[in-house]
Amino acid sequence: MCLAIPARVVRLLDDDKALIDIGGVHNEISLGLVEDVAVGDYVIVHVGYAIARLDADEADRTLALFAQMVSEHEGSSGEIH
Amino acid sequence: MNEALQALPLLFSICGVAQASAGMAACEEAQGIAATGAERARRSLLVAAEAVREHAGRLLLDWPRLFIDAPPGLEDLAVLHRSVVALRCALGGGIWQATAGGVPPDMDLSVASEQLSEIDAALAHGVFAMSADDWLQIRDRAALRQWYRRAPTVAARTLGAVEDCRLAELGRSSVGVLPRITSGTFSAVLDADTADRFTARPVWDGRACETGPLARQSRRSLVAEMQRLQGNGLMTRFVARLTELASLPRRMGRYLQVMHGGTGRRTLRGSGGGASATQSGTGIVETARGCLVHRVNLRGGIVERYRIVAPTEWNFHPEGALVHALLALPVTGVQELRRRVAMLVVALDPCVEHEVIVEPAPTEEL
Repeated sequence: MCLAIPARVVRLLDDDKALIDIGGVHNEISLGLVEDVAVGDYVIVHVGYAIARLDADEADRTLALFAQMVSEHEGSSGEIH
Repeated sequence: MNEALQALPLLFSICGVAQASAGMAACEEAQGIAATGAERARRSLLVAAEAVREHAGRLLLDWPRLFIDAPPGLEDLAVLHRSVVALRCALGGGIWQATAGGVPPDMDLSVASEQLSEIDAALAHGVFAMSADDWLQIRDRAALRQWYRRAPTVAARTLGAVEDCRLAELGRSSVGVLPRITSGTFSAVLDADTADRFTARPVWDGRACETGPLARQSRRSLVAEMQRLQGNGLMTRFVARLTELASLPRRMGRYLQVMHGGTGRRTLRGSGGGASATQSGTGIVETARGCLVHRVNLRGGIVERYRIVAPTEWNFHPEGALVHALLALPVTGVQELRRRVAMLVVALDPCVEHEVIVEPAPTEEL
């Protein structure tokens, strides 16, 4: 299902691109669809494009939710549905 | 329950409005609350705006890359993204008001109306090369062909390329479309012992079904003709997506009119229930990718069980539309095979990232 983990912008690159970090994995994405993105911001990425910029509070709450889901998943043998 | 509703748009942010709307509908039904007509219109408008963004994303990002080797239509898509965000803000904020049956938020309907015009103009410029309403007057294959041979947009050129490369029937199969199913029927299925299997691999009447634009638009004359002539291959699926995209601005306008009519009052249907009572509800929302179902079971206001059936589970079912299409693919070399698989996947538009890996079949020992 379409879970979307916030990605942190690590570096701004040429051509409206950026390097992002998701859980330690770095990827290059396009910023062509969102405005005013700075290093340290969190974005939602879909098929190589940032489609939304999150405010810090929203990003923190989302990351905490994912951390909670992973922790609960590791504590059980069930699948995340 | 409120925590669950607040989590939905954060976890499922690709189609967060649709997810939040389905969750809200499920929780309201469980609590015996009926949203007002104006509130239902507000949610439908926001879901439709999200669908515009998602459909346009496929048309302007994926189609040029896969079919005409052209750069993506970023400028038009960026305009659409900005307008959808502005529309959402005008209708109550960027984050869904995640309280079941909550009071209507502050809204500016005149700004919403302006943004709707912006969306209409961006679609006319970037997709249809005419107004969406005018495009909907195309009712047969001959008129459609005239359009895609003359219009300069990525969408039109893609349809031309699909025809030129003899890809129109790529992915054609006998998999039928998912009919409209009532929430009561889904409720029974999702409360049954077999519900976990259903959420992972849903079937209807024992068969895998396709959900999404083709299922919803198959009664439109153009889509019906394309289906009759070329089955449910790439061309028909693309025409169905274009048809749905073209119909969205007018539908959004109608929702806005309902909102102008007033907010009304929400009503309690009186299912009641004490602190320990069990309450259940189902929410169904048609998203860009297809039918999305949420089922919630509450006990004393606490979520006891929550189940979701996502559209991708229908379309990417092991016996579903994609797998049937893949099994019928002619082997034309690894590179071409990978390209065609990517086309089929994009035509069904999964909500997750995908990667195509081609492996030779194991050699059978004699």
